[in-house]
Amino acid sequence: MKSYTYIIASPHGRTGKTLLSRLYADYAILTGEPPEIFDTDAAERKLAACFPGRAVVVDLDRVPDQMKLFDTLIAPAPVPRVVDVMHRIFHKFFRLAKEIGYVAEARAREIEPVIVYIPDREAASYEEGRLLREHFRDCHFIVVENALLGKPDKQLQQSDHYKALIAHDLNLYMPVLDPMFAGVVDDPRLSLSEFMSETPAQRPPGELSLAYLSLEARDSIHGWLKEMFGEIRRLHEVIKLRADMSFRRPL
Amino acid sequence: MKPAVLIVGADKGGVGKTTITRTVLDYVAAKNTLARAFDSEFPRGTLKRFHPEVTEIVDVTSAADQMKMLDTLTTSEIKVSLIDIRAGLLSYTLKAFTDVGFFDAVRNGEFNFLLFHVLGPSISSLEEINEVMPYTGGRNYFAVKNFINETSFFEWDPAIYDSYFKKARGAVEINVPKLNEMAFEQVELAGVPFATFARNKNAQGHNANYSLVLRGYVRTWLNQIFGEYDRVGLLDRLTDRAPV
Repeated sequence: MKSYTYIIASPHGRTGKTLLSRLYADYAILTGEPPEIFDTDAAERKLAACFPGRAVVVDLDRVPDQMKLFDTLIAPAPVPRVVDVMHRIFHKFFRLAKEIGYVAEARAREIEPVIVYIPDREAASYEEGRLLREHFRDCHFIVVENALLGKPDKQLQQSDHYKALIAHDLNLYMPVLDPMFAGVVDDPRLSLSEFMSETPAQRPPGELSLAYLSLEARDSIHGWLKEMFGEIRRLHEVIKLRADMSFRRPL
Repeated sequence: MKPAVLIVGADKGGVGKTTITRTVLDYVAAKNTLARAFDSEFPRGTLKRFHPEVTEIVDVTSAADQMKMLDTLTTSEIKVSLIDIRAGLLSYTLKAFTDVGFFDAVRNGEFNFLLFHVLGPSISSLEEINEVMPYTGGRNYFAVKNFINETSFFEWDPAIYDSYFKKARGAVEINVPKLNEMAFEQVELAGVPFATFARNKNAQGHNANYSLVLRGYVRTWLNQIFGEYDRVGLLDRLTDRAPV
């Protein structure tokens, strides 16, 4: 049986990588497949803070940590994996992945790597995304449209890189969450999967309780999460189908 | 095909001669060319540990072993012979080969001869150039700058370096980049050729469980070196396909 590794990446900061990584990890927990989680930001460890005791922090400037990450990523496992690629090591991560032949090794072991790429409004991010897709043609590739970042300007929308990436056939849409509640969702003490599963009877000490929130607020967050998890599920189903049929569409 | 002899050596120790020889053996194997090797680290034989099937340990100071290497050049079906000369014996070996008439035979076109002179990051390595250059007759002399043991090379005045190389007309430089230390150590522990390690195989040819990352470092490094060997036309020179 195949397993899936979601690699969430963007060449720039503040594009929603860590939030999306967290959503992927929480989605896996919700579906009863607690994932292996890797946080490549050894300084801030934001993703790791959301999954204490579960996430592994790696510093890719260190060879032992490179081994810890990639050697684990190719080890057969029945669980999904989520890797949050910090923007500062974006190039290093993918250069290393290319040089060591990570995708081929993983796929030989029934592991399907999926790159989840978030461009922002910078022209360079579309060019980087297009290059990344070309360099990893043997890998599933999802382009994320984070509505919070807004549309790029008209001139950029005319560029070949933008057109090529925006026409990609696997797109994940991140709707805007009401700014009033964004801070709540950002709080690492809040378990998004537990919030959605609505079984908070035995809440661990230190974990954020949303009991103080109004029904409207809870509904707003719930609706946003439902949409996000729906998007993640939809794309996962498509990728699973393609992987099962060993089918690759021309990119 | 004319028999070819490639000597890999340096009078200075610790410059990575055996590592270079191992990469050449991987290179010719990748090019589907048979080669045999002689390991002069008598009696221990580091090269033989990594390439046991094609390597024989020899004592280059013994006439019997000199015969084993040279008298079989024309009779052996394997036409490419590599000789890994242990530290301190390069000049001696070249003199001994001169005395037995090997270089006369090279001049007469009976054999091809190539010399990989492995240079370490010190001036004493460069001083060896004057000693060993004449044996190649100005042809097929390769100055191999090996970065394996040092992160920088010839940090001292580059003018000194250039002055030595001006004397070595026709010398071809080969740059061997540094391999990640952990990767190098793991290959040492595995005791297999670099290419075998990169393919994740053990000495018996079975699947191994080496680190993907370290295999990747070895593969990339080997590809860079193969690129250097391609650039200087090593295979053509060894297999007599190049005008020399």
